[in-house]
Amino acid sequence: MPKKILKVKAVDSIYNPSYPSYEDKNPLLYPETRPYPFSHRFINWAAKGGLASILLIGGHSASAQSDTDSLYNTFPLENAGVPFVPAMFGTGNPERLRSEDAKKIILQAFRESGIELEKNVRLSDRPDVPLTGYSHKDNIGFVYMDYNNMDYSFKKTFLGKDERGMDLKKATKKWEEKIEREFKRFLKDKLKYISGMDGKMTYGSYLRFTQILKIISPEKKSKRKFREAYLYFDLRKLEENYKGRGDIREELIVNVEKRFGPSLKTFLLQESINRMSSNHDRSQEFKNTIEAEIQKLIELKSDTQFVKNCKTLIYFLAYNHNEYHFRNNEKYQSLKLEVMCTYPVHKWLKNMDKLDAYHDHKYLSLEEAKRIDKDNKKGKKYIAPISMRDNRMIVRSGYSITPDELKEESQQLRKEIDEHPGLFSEVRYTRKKEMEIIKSKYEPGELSPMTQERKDSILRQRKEKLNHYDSSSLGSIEEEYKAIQILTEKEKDYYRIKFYDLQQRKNLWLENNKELARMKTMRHLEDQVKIYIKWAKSQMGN
Amino acid sequence: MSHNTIDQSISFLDNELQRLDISELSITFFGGEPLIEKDKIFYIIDAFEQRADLTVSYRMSTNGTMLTADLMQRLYSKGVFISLSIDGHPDVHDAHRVDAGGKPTSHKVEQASKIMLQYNPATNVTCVISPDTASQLCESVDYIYNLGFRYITTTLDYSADWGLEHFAMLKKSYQKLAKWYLQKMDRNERFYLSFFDERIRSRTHKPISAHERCLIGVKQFSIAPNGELYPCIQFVKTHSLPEFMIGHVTEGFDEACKTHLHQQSEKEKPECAGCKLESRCSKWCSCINFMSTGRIDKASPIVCYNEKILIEIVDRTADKLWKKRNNHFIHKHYNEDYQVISHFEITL
Repeated sequence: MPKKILKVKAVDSIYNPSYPSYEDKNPLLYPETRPYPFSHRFINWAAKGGLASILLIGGHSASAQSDTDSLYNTFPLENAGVPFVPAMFGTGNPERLRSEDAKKIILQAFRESGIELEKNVRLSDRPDVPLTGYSHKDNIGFVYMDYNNMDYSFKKTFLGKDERGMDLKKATKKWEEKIEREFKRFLKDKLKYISGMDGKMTYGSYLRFTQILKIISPEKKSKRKFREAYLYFDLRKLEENYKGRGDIREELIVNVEKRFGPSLKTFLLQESINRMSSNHDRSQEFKNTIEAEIQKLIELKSDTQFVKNCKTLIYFLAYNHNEYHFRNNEKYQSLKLEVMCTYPVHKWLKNMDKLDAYHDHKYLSLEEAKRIDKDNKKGKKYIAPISMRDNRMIVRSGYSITPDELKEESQQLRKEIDEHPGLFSEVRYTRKKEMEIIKSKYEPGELSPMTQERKDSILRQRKEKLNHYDSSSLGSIEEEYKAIQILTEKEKDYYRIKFYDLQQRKNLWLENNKELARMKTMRHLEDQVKIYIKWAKSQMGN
Repeated sequence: MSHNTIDQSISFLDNELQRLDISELSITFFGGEPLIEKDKIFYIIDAFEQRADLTVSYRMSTNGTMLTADLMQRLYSKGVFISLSIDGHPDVHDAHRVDAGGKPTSHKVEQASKIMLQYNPATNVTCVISPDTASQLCESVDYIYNLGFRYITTTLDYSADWGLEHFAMLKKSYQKLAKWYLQKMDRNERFYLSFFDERIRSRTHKPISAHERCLIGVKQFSIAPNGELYPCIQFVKTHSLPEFMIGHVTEGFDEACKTHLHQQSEKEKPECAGCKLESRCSKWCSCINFMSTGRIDKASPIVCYNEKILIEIVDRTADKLWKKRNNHFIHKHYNEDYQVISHFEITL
């Protein structure tokens, strides 16, 4: 291929950088002093030579670079830690400042900077959410983003806006995939597959299913039979679940089977109806409306229309804009009821504007947060998007660290106990000897001429015997070696008290340390807000 | 250059200085390798030392292969500012820089580095990037930095045969280098990297006006070994280039030719019309244009491709530093005293 000749070509579209150009205000002229970032080496040299005055070159005081010596937008969205991956409690997430504390300290920082913020301000243009605090006079404020006002778009697991309506095709595909997996397991080891259901054998559906499976041979051509058996099993399992409930949903489920027989469509519809939350039945009016709709459904002659309306009903009742909180939100649910009472079922999904508006009015979307950030950076409106997911909200208490003096005391106590005659040293010595005997008896190097089975067996025995010495079984060990412990009850009490006292002091220290860390986090947040305010003011030319 | 031509050149310069009433002169010794003729260099310096009414500064670019501690001491004592040519780590350097016998020179350059940094920690290194070494740019810069150099002037070999594939490689190298630059800035380290710092400067400072430039043949000219005068060292070849010759030390300047060349170089470049990067790119440099296209009035496509890639990467890097309000970045590019202070810090 001939080499392409390079040609000069003018560009009409370029990346627009945001760092100040020669036409912008020089960042060094901002109201806050920005010290020259002398290197530590230089400062040391100057200080040693008594040349401190040289550090004032350019009118700036000496300082090595630090995070706090600059004036800048401290709350750009990229530092807000959003979007985030939602995680359950107890998953090792760090502790963060509580929203109330954070809001309190932010408001205080504004107050101390001479700005009184009005709470829960709604601006006439945008964003369409209440700002946590805003001053019309100073054109500055903030919106605190936490679980109460961040919508689903802030969550990384959100895969896009839901299609409005229930997707039977998707559900069918998912079920078929499940069958594929189950059948593979069945083919691999039929006995194991059946025995895996042992624990559930008390249910009729399981019993019946395993009986059928026993007569199906584990080969590829049996897939159709396996599928039928599984469908039958799923249908019966569901029946066991809903039967006897005696509510209107049961009537609808029965009606589905009457219409479509024992089919996959029946199962998928029934399963969805069964899952329909009873939360929606909280008000009598709501309950009556649902019952009336279900009654209408049952009476429908057209099966096609039945499926269509049924899907809408299931979807509409479960729908909550992906906001879990809306399930118990009276206003939201009353708006739903309004839709249900005003329109026929087939028009519900087309008349959700009020629900959308309510959601948008209450929740902030990531897009809106981006707009706030953009306006902030462009100097249109100074609203800091402060997020609970921001790393600055993390309370870094370092709870696993204990102070040196307590650590030393603990080691000292341990040493004292260790050195006490007849206490642990003898026990440890005896245990060590016993473990060595076990290890040498079951030495893996001497097992090589054995069969794999024999080898596994001996290794298992070795493991079991050594497990006995594991610290988790310390209670039984202590009991076993009691005879060689010569501590008197008085001596034991002495150590118990000492340990307890030490532990108490450790706990107290940790608690204090945590509180200190919380205060430190709050102080840092306060400083950051103050820098933000100064920065915003400097941008406004104040 | 023969002794006779040297004397004629000194005499020519004397006349010109008197004629134009100039009291400051900057002389750059260039080659090939100028240290081959070290005695002649000291001869010229000695000759100008006798002129009490004249302030002369000396510069020289060397490949370092002939530099010894004694020689460095002599040059240092005479106030010669030396720039060392290192293209990168040994593999890269030896790909293009071998001695007359074809042997690699990187080990000699490493020795020269130590000598030079001992005398001047702020020594500048010129690093030339060729199409075949483009992929190693970041590693090369890092190597030079680790040798101890803090002023690194990077430039492309504009006379080389660059293709699109080389620019694709270069782009990756620039992206890598951007990370390197960010890391050094975050660590508050003092250094100058022309590829990045000059591009940032082209935004933080007004575009260079026409009279601030080298003004081909007007403010700057070169004397060839045979006494011919050219607008810049890039025009000094082993053979004469009559169309770019602007005079001879024995006859003085050919003013008509000088003016013509200057006008040619200042001509608008229609191929650049409307380009949004026009004010930030060095399409005005006649020497680069000449090396790349053989003409001084035609913008270099190598410059064009390079600037388009590089400026965006540099701007994005600078944005990251600005967003963090990196104090070092702000002083480096907005504090007029920075160059002096940082030079002092480096030489400390």
